[in-house]
Amino acid sequence: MARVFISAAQLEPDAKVAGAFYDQLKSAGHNPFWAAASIKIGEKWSERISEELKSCDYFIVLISKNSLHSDMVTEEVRKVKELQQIRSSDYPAILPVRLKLPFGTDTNYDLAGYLNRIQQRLWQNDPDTKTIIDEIIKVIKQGRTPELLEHREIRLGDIKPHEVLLPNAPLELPEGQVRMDSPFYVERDVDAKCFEEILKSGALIRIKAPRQYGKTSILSRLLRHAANNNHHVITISLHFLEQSVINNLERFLKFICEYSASRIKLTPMMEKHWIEFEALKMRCSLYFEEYLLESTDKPIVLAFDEVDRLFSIKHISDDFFSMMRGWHEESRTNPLWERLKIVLVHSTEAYLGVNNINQSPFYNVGFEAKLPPFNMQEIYNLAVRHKLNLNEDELSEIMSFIGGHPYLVRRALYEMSYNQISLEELMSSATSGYGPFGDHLRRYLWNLKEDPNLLNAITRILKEETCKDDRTCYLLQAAGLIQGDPPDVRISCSLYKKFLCKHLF
Amino acid sequence: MENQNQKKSYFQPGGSLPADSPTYVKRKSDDILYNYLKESKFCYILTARQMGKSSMRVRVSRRLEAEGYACVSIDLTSIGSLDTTTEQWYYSLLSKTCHDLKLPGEGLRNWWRENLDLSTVQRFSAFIQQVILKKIENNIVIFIDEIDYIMSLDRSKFSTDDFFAIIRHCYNSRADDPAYNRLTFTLLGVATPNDLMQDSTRTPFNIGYPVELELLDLKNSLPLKEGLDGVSVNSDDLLKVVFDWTGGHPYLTQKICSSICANPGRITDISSVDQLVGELFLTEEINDHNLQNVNNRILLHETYNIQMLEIIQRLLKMRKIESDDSDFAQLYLKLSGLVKSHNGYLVISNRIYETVFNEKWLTNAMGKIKRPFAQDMQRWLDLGKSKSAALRGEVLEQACKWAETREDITPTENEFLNFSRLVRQEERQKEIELLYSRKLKIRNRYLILALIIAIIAGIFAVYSAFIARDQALAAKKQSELTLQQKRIAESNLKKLKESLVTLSNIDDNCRQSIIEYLEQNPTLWGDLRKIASQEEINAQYERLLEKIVSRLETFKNQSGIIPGENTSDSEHSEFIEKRTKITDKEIKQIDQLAKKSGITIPSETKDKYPEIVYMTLKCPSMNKIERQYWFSIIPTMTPEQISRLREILETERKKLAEIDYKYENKLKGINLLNYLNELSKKKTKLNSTDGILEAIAVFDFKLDDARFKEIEKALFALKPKFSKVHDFQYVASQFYHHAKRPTLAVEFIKNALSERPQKIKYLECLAEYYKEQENFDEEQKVYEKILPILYKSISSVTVDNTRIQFADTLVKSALSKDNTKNFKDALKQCQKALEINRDLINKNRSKENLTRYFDNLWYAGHFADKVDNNGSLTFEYAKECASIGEELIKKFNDNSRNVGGAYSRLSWYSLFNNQYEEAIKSAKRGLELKPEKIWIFGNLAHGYLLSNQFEKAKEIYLKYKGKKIEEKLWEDAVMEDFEELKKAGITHPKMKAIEKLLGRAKNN
Repeated sequence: MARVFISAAQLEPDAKVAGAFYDQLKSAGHNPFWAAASIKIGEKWSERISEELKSCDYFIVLISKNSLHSDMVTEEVRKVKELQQIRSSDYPAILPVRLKLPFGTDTNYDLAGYLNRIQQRLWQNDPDTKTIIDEIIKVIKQGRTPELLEHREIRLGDIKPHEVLLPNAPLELPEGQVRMDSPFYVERDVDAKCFEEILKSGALIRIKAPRQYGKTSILSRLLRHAANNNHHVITISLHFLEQSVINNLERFLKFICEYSASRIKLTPMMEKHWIEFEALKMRCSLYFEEYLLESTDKPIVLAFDEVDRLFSIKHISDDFFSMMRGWHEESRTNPLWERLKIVLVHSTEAYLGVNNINQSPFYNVGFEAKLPPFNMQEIYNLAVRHKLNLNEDELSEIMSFIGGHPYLVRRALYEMSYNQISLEELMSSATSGYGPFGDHLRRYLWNLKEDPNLLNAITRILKEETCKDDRTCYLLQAAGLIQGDPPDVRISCSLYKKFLCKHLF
Repeated sequence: MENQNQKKSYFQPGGSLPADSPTYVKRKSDDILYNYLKESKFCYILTARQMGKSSMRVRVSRRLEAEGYACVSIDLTSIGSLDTTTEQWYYSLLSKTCHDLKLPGEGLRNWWRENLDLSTVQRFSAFIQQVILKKIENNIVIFIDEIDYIMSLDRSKFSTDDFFAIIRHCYNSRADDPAYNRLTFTLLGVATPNDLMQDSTRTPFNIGYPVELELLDLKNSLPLKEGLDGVSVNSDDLLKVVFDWTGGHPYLTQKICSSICANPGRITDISSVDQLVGELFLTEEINDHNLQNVNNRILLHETYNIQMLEIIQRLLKMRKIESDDSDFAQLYLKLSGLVKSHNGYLVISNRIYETVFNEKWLTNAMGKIKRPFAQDMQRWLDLGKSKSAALRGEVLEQACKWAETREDITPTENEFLNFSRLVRQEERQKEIELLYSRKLKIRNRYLILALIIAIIAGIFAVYSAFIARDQALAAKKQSELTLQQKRIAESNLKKLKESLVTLSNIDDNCRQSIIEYLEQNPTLWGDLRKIASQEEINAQYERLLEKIVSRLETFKNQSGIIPGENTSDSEHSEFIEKRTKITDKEIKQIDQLAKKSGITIPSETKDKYPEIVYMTLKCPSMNKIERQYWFSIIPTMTPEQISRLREILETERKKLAEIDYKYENKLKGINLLNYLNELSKKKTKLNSTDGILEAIAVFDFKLDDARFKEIEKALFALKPKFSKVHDFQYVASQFYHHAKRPTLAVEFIKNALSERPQKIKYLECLAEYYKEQENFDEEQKVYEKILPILYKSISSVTVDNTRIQFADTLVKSALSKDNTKNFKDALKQCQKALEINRDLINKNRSKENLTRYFDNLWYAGHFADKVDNNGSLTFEYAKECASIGEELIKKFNDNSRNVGGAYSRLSWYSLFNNQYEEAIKSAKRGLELKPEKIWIFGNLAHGYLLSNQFEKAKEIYLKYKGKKIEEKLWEDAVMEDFEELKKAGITHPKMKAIEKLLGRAKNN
């Protein structure tokens, strides 16, 4: 008997399929969990879900139009991946089923990354339900885990996270073709600065903003801009790298080299250019200098997304950042290195380069692009593009309710425009766990409840607007929950404040 | 647009300025370094961060390169990472050198591969000499930047001393090989030479030239001025204000200028610079990384942070203090960048630092890093140094650890820490007494207590404890427990400790009685387990304890056993005295003990307080770290503290001796019953009887009938467990034997023999039992059975051990015959044994063989004496016996045999064989060995008498007249001797005179 967790949105056809899966598994003698069927009213859902995730053997995730914008589904997948890494095990094994969503139409960047190498099944209509669940039961019976596929390229340019929210945006983008700027993208001053900076020789850009502030959007636009200006573009999303690679300096640097070579269509030639005698950082630097940079006339943009992941791995981060700094410094004196441009994207600056007082710090290097929240004017412009006519009162109401948080603003405008909800209705249903922001808010609550430290800190901030512990501050700031300079911090917007008060007190 | 772009990148705060940067301000130090290098001098630039070291390096190399120099610049941070190996270090240093010198990397790779037989360091210097200096004909300068990086390295992976020695070697080689004159090194970094080198004899710094980096000079700052030209305010005035803030600090200056250029519109007049500076640097939290670095370099310095803060405190008050280069705190403060030397004084480097690192910052910083135990110490002082305010536990550990890293501990702090240590030691001793945690002696006690705890705390680790006890019993003869047993015992002890802590709600007496009770009456363990299993894991301990105590009372009433009453007071005090007294011999062991545990003791301490040192070394409640701690602080302790320490140690020693005393008395009572019960729970069959026999052997059978029956029952319950029935019968017979039930013992061994009639072990056992019952006829019958069996086996195989066994059995049999006065047969058997012994001796004159031979000769002599009247045979045996005895003494220094007795016998039988000289000689030797055996004098006197030395004889005869020797009057003994001699026809005319003198003249 296996424990099976079914993750699905509570909309059709997802619920129908999930329900069928649930019943079939149960009658096959397994122990399935599906929130809609298994959680009783009044039960503490966040604890229960954490519990079930930890104890399940298999994790079935239904990927559909609906779940693609669900923060909760993405978060559940992320947690399962985390469990696998913590346990260094293939379990819980992930079994993805795509509902009417053909392969290659990944429109959720995170999900696409997490499920990258996992074999997926496609559900087209009702008869498929039986075929797929039979196959799943067979897999479970044999105690197998799904086969791993080759590492597929996830091209940042292909994915525009915000567009999936938009009524007019085509859900399925033909692969490899980059759709030019979405009309709903809000260009800010910082965009232009980055565009200008990336064309400078030896540039180093650090994009920094809390979660869901549009970092990946600006990165993908920036990279497109670079590509259009005759640059090679290499993106490495650290979030999706296996723990064993990221934990080992040699494997990590080797991966960077091999991957970069393949991205600019060179054979890696490791036996010639990866010299065992050399110290690792030197080896990696020489690989770039004597092979990659030498082999092309075009400038190369090397972008690292979700750099935060390195911060907690001190023995890697010290060396990695000192190498990045070294490369950037080198560009000032060595024309070859002028061709290399580095982009780092992160949401915190926890411990960035302050680890070792004997080393030059990293955080003053290069150009820092902080993404600010939307201002009133930007919200207005965006509303107009949504064909919404908001007066000044309404704007300032939005501003005071959700701040300028880019994701919340776009979600709000989308709801008002597409679902024809009035601002009043929106605000009254906003703090419900199942309202328009429900998914987004529940994810926060879930994560807070998992970490007593964070929960304590946020409770204190709600009461006293102060937070003494720097690290906790960084984490909460990175999550976008709080603003301000520690120790004087406050909850980012009144939506969060109301929601948290409602659920924590 | 183009123009503005340029403006933006005109100034550059942070990172080295490119060689063509327009904002580089030349300093005097540029020329100094340049000139030194032109003279091939080895240079080092060690200064605070962001003073423009690397920028100057770029500039100076550009200048040198223009004159045909080849420059190499190595940034150590680009090479080193956590796991860089020594080989990788040296290879990468060379590969970067080749790279900068435009030598192909492939060449290095091949060369390196071809010279793998050289050590890494040799390869490095050989490559410099054989390749670099050969291929490059120009002068070479190697700049090594970020040299301080090596301080964060694991020095076992990369020996910085080795590395610097190579640099020094390159310099030294100039005398022999002029090519080295073309090679110069320059080190750059944030460090003091001391930080970098451990071995001062190999340092390159004493042959090198330091280059001081001064601050920028406003007069030479034309390039900066040009960068500010686009601003509406006069650039001269502007720059002056900037310098007023920065004092010419390169980074701070660049940062302000760059910020001015980024927002030229904001600068409307000079005062707007102040505003800008405020935003950039003077924020509530320190934002600027340079300021953060200064802050961290001071606060995070492990050794000198407090002293640095004190200097800053003085500086804030007095503006300047005298500069002192021998003061490390000052050096490190300079290295942080906060202060600079100015005309022999130390001053704060610039106005920005002065504003940021102000009184408020200082108070805050002091608060952050002050003594971790400051508050506790204040409380201690307030309470008049009360024990209750001493540091304890983890806090004390941390405070001591912290204090070890400090060089500025005040005497009060020292006293406070020492005091806390003493209090802790004192308290621990109480704990120890309670816990019986004496490590070496503890063995069974561990297990018993572990059991109690397992029961009380409801931890059902009982089974493992029993196993451990089983093992411990089996291993009782071994001096040390095996590793595994130790581990089990220790883990049980841990559980015990944990549980006893939670039991703090009962008083010591109660605890003590529980322990004693359970030790005395282990039968109740089973009952207690039942109780415990009925309780929940977190059950109320008190309730449980009440039950235990009430059972204790019932049991006491039933059995009447009260622990420890059967020993006398004198025995007790003797034991304690013996245990606590420290002998000279023990004092002499100090060095050895210290060496064994890797502890160093100051010789002064050792001479002054040898007892304290010895007791500390032996103190079971301390670990190595604590011992070392005491030895290092004893010199700093006050006499009161010393005597307090001595008192504590002595008390502990005494209390432990008390525990040992109790324990040794109780050890005998270790519960056989429980052991048997536990064995019965084992799933496997019993194949070996060793453990159980051992348990029986150590068990004290002084017990009442009821308990005996109980144990007997437990033993019989085990019967089916034995894989062989006769094993059980043997065990049972031993059990009865030890329990003084001889009839049953004989019965059971006979049962065993009916199964295995030929088994020597059982036969010997039976013979032994008969012997103890003085049933010698039966004993001999058993030997009659054993001997043929053994004889058969020695005739088929000649194994020495079997032959020895045969000989020994013959002797045993002979001795049994001695009891039945069958001397003739006894002598025969003994002679047979002698043959075997002689044979063995001819093979190997080992101590064992000689001893055995000596004993047999002794017995043989005894039997011969009884059989043979003329004594010649006895004389032969005695003679040989004495000579073997002599050999044992001379060769093996073995005095265990009665060689004196052998000589005594020899002298006596010499008389019968008319060898009076021999009699005298051997009597003398006998007396040398056994001077207390007076009758040997008798033999001597007889010898003198018979060899006509009347006076000598007379003297001896008279000397002991009237004295009693072993219940016999001397005169009577002499008369008896005379009778015997006369019987053998040996007389002397003077015998009568002697008889007369002794008053024993017969009236014919």
